[in-house]
Amino acid sequence: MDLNQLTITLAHDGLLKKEFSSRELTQAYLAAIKRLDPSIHAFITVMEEGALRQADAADAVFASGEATELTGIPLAIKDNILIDGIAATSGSKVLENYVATYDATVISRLKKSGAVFLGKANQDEFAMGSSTENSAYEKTANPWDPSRVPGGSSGGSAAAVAAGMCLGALGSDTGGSIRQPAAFCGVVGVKPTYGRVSRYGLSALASSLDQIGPLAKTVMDAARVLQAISGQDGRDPTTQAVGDMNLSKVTQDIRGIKIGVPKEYFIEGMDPDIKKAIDQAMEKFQELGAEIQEVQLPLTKYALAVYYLTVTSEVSANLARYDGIRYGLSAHDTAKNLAEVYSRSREQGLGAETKRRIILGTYTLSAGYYDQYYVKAQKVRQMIMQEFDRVFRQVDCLLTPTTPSVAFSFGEKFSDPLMMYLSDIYTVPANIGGICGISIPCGFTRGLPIGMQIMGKSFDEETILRVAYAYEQSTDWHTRQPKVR
Amino acid sequence: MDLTEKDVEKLASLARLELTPEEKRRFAEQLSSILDYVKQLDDVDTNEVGLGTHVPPASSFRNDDIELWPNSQPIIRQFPERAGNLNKIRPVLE
Repeated sequence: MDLNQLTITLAHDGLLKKEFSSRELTQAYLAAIKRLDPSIHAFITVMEEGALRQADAADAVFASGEATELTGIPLAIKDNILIDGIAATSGSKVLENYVATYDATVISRLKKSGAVFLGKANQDEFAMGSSTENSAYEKTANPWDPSRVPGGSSGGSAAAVAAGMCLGALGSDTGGSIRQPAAFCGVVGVKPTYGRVSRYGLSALASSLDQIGPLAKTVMDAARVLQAISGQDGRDPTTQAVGDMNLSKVTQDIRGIKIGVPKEYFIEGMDPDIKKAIDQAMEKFQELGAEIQEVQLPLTKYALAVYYLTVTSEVSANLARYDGIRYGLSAHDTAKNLAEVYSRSREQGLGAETKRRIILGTYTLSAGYYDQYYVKAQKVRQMIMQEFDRVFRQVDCLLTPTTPSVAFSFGEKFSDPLMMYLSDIYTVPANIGGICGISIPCGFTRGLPIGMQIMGKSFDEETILRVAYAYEQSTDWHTRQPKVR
Repeated sequence: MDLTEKDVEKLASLARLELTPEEKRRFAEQLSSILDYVKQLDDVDTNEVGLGTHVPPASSFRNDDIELWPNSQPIIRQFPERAGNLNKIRPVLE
């Protein structure tokens, strides 16, 4: 049996039946990382020793009969999520020497369920980017074509899942950073509803948009990881008491489900093969008994502008903490006063995209421009949220492409920030609206995966998972795997 | 909307960020093009819209109680410069 070809569900069965131990499973994934990561560069830190220790503990739990569905399952964790005692760079040079001093809530929850952490995955600096090219450490290659980007900002997480270097991963999604790399790498990625998952222990990017979520090979695998990390947390007051999802609903058929297709998402300039793949998916959904309805979301075209004004404003505030005073890179030995410690540490530690956004956010929040930019964006954001409310009274979920193009080449969009931002055009609305979304594989073109996005009402992850699961069960896109050399 | 290199320099100093001359030039150009893009929001009539809350209200308030951090040494060890358990910083005023 090739342990690197399994899903979380199959691995759990194998562990239960004692076909292999958690230690053997973890060793197989550590070996895959040793073999493949020198060409993929998905990991910033590999936690070999800790992973084997967790695997042995998981084997003991299996022996005692108290295993959960994630006990002994090897996962990759995006580097901006803190694991006590492990380096957490967030893809930034400013945190090169920073070691986390506590567990993020999602990490303590996964530890409780017995999961194994293989390592910390590469990302764009502080999750700003759509290609992982903004990492201060390495460029992650797309496992389907190493000359192309894996997407971003959770590019390391998506590439690690796609290349079979882990069974699942955590990413974070502020404007598409889970769904877009999931689409580019041909895996499943979920952006949960704002308030389902605690962000305590996540390096904040834009706090009114950030969510942590799973990437995995199948919908059910992603659902299981999501279930494990969800729930109210006193340390993140935006988390809501909504209770667990009922995963038995995910496997129900989708007869009578109303799927809305917003025509605003089929813009000029999108790859025609992506359009074709979505059309075929619509037919498949109809075969499965769902009803397809065209709907209108006319404010969609403003979502990206709202998004960048909101993000940069929040970034300029959130990233003020990287100042060389308490931890991380510090220019204290060359500075003559405190102000110079701040400005030099930030100059030396932060990358171009981060600086660009801090400057823009400082501008949009400054006296005289605040109303014109930040307040205006928040008002349009209200209207976009109301538009989603309205459309979700007509339909149960929305079907769109995840991205307007498939994975692009390194350097292709790097020098033009606006071009790069446009690759998130279909994913940012869900963050603006605070709703949930999933990307699943729905085809290939020129050897590269195509992703389809299903968005749902706030806290109705059960429906989008159910629709995605029904599609996945009737297609075989998710079974294809890249040949990584 | 055009941002000049001088504007960028002013913003950088507000944000406590040193920039190279090349960065100032490039950012002025790139940020101007981003501001042109977001200008389209002016087309949306927002006169009837209040600011409201854009996310569900915070639900899990807790008391702001002081908790003793169980193990402060790993935090203290990461101070860039320290004197015993104290974080030492450069003078605020020269």
